[in-house]
Amino acid sequence: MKGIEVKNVTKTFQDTTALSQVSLNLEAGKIYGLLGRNGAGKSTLLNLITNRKFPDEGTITLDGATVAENDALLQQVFLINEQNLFPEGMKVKKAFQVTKLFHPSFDEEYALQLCKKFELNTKKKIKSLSTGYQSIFKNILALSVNVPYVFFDEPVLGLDAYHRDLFYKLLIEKYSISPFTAVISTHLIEEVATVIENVIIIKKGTIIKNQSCEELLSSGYCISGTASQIDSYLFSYGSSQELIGTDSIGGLKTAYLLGTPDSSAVSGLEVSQMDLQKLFIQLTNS
Amino acid sequence: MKINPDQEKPIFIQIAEGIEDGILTGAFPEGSQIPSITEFSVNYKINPATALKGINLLVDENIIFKKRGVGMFVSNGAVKQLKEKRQNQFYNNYISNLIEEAKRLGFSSDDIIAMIERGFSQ
Amino acid sequence: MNIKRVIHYQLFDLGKAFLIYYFIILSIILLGGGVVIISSGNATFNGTGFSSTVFCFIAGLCMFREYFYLFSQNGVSRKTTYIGTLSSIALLSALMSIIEVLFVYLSRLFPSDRIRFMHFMDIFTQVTASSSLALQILLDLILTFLIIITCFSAGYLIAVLFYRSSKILKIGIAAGLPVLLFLGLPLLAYIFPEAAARCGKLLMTISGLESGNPLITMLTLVITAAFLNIVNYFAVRKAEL
Repeated sequence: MKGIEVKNVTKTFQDTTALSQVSLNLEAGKIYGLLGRNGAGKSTLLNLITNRKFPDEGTITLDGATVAENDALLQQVFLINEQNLFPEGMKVKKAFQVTKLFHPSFDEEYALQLCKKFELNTKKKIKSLSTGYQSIFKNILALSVNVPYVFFDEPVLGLDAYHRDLFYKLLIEKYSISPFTAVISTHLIEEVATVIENVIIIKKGTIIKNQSCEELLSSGYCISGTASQIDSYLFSYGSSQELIGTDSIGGLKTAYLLGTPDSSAVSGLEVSQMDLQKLFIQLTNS
Repeated sequence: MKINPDQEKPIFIQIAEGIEDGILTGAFPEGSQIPSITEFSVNYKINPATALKGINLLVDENIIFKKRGVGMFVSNGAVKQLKEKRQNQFYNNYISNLIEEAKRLGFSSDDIIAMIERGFSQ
Repeated sequence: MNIKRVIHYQLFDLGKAFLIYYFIILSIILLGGGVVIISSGNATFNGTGFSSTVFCFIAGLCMFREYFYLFSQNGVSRKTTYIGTLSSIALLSALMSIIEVLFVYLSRLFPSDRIRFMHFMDIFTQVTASSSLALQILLDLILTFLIIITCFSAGYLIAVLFYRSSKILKIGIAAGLPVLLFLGLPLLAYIFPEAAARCGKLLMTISGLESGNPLITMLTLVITAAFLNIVNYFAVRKAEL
């Protein structure tokens, strides 16, 4: 199983390059976090993988075969994003039936159970749902469709804390019982940091990080002390590490680095691990 | 058991240590079944692969064993094994840091011993 | 597999609209006929022909965006959307053709001096006069089918082209097309009367009206429908969400 392979994909809209020579692999049965600042290219990438838009350059394959315009392969991927592609006036229950028509693996019973858990009225028209409930509706679709690759573009938009908690738990439960590939694109990094296994960071249309969360987190650290202490540390050891950012307040300074801290040099200084959100902020800070 | 993503320790180690704590306090008695990977992952909102990694650490040390089709159980003798392990780790985990901080604050070893005796008598 | 699902969904979705249309239209016609009989007057009704062409054109206009969006959400390729939609259109056209011809010719089982429902074949008086009823019905079925499918295809094409156009182009089409048809063409005809006359003659020939031969009409319609749908294919292929 080769999974989804994106190779050298470029996409331009009028004069903006949304994605430039992007390559990545999505393996079967893993939960990925797709992180990036607003406008970085996350949604475009997901649209290209699911054949909603066409790349200007590059290829996207699933198990070696091109995904674009291939019905059999397209049935194995499913994307939910901020667009509501269901007809005006269609009710939630009908939407489930239509999804079942095109995806025989769709579990209607499970979807209805989830509706109860989220308190979603299936008789309502999709367009009449609040922003939060539209997200909930789409999440229920994505959790019930049972295809190998499911893409969640901002799944928790508008959801309150209780519903967000419920969503993550349902996702984990589903994944634990029958593993599939889930790609979650989100801005709420802290919440998703423990749920994902691998993290992909996009910055201005290119991928800057693509590795396991654990690896990424252990590859960096922050070091704090007086400004002069930090500066001398950076001077002596900065070349063997990658400095990705600094913060100063008064005479105190914090440096964010990728690499391993030199144990002798750090005595007297405060060394700590960066959490995913801090790492993300520093890495995507232009 | 609390999983803290901000802590220095990777999450899978936190899981393993959390279960170890449970075994030592008697929350998971020897021979009893511990919650499944799914239950752990859902409860602490962590990726099941991470939970599995943590539990496998304990399986490798024979603290936990898996019964196919049934679940995961605490091995007999796990408590003793864990106590020994922790006793061996005690110096590195607690004493080293204590001494370092003590030196920073200017305490002598006698000061520290006095404090320890005070602690034990309370 | 997906093609079947597309057709299934579209037929069920449009079915309601069609039933309502025919219910209304046929009721109006029958009502009108009833009024004529009661008032002891004379009338020839246009049957369902013209209204159906308008209905199908508008239905064609509605066959793209909503379905394209829904099918894209559910892993259907554009190729399949195209083939499925074309199949649905063909099936509906055939169905409509049968209903209409049935209605008109059944009504003629009750011959009356005072009411007559007209249909497309009645244009070709020479043919209708000299051929058997069976042949008339067959020709009417084919002719009606082709007219309807061409109207459907035209509506669908305009919908797809509109979808694919930039904002400026959209305004251009929406405003420009009517202006062209109702101002531009008559103006051109006024300025160049000879050319206009020749175009008019050409249209009469290819539409089969000149010769009174329905087969020419059918050929023209087949070519037109084929052309429209070929353009459709290329337009749908590159549609992005």
